[in-house]
Amino acid sequence: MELEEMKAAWEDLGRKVEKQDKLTHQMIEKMTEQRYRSRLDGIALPEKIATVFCFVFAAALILNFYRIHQPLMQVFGALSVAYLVVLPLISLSMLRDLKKISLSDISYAEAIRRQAQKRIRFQKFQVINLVASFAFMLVFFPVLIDMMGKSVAHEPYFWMLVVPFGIAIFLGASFWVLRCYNRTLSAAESLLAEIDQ
Amino acid sequence: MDQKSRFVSIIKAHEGIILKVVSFYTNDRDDRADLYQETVYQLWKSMDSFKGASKPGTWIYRVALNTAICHLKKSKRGIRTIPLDPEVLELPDSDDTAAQERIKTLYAQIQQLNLLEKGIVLLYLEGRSYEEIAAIVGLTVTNVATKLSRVREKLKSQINKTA
Repeated sequence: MELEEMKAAWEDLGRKVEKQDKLTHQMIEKMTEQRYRSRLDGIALPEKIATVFCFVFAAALILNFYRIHQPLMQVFGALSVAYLVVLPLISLSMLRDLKKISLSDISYAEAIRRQAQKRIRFQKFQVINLVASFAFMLVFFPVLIDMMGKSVAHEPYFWMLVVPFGIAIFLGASFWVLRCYNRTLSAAESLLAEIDQ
Repeated sequence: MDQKSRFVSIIKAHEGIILKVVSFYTNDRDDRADLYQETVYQLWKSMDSFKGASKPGTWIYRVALNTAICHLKKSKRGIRTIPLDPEVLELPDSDDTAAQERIKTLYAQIQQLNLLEKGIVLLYLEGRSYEEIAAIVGLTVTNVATKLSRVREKLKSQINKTA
């Protein structure tokens, strides 16, 4: 079907749609009220659960900090707390930024551009998140072992199970995230190029 | 007339535009209901900035198209929708089988277009002038003409492939 034929088909459909008078005052009011209430909830449930989980974990670590004996482990413990507090805050602030855009003030091309840039930024954050999670795992487990009064050097399970298992999970997740990253990046870049042409 | 009544009357007068934009960007009924309600909400939110400098139709196109892009991927984020009469979200069926077939082909072709082309083609199909399309999309008139001519070529090559 060529563009002119599409137009004829669309006009035919449009004539019927324009006659439609199905929305009622009540429906329109309910729609806006329901959405407004949902927006007041603000952040979606998965982000809320993840944030609470991280903060509880960080609090538990701070409360048990006196049980960490070695100075190196204390540094690792501090890094773990920083990770558990900072990462969710970055994630929440990114989500808040997404909501700031006023859809009536920007053009369609600008909306596409922002959306593409946002997707690239989000995917980059996912990559950073992945590396940070792996680093967290590496510093957190020795801290945990130290808190139990044991030493990493003498803990066979750490080297035989935690490290290989952690590396396997990290490699699997890296492969998946990078695949998504490349796909998103090329789709977003071609859209951006299309706008700028 | 207070702001709320003015808003409701604008939406009622242009509900066809919202339905057409929403059906252009979604395939599934749940997504359609979600996008429809999000569009109405975004229009309400931007009602203050709509001072009547542009026609209500132009404002509705702009917000509806932008919402379609920005909201679609987020539709599974747990925002509740109110149940709507299915008729509100359905495009009218034609009694003519040939016409129905043409609409089906039209939708299949639309799916092949990228987001920018989709927006431009929708406005073109709606009979908007190149100047209006350029103003809503945010490109120059020449650019809009170039993109439409590329879409024509794309559609022709799709026809050749399927033939």
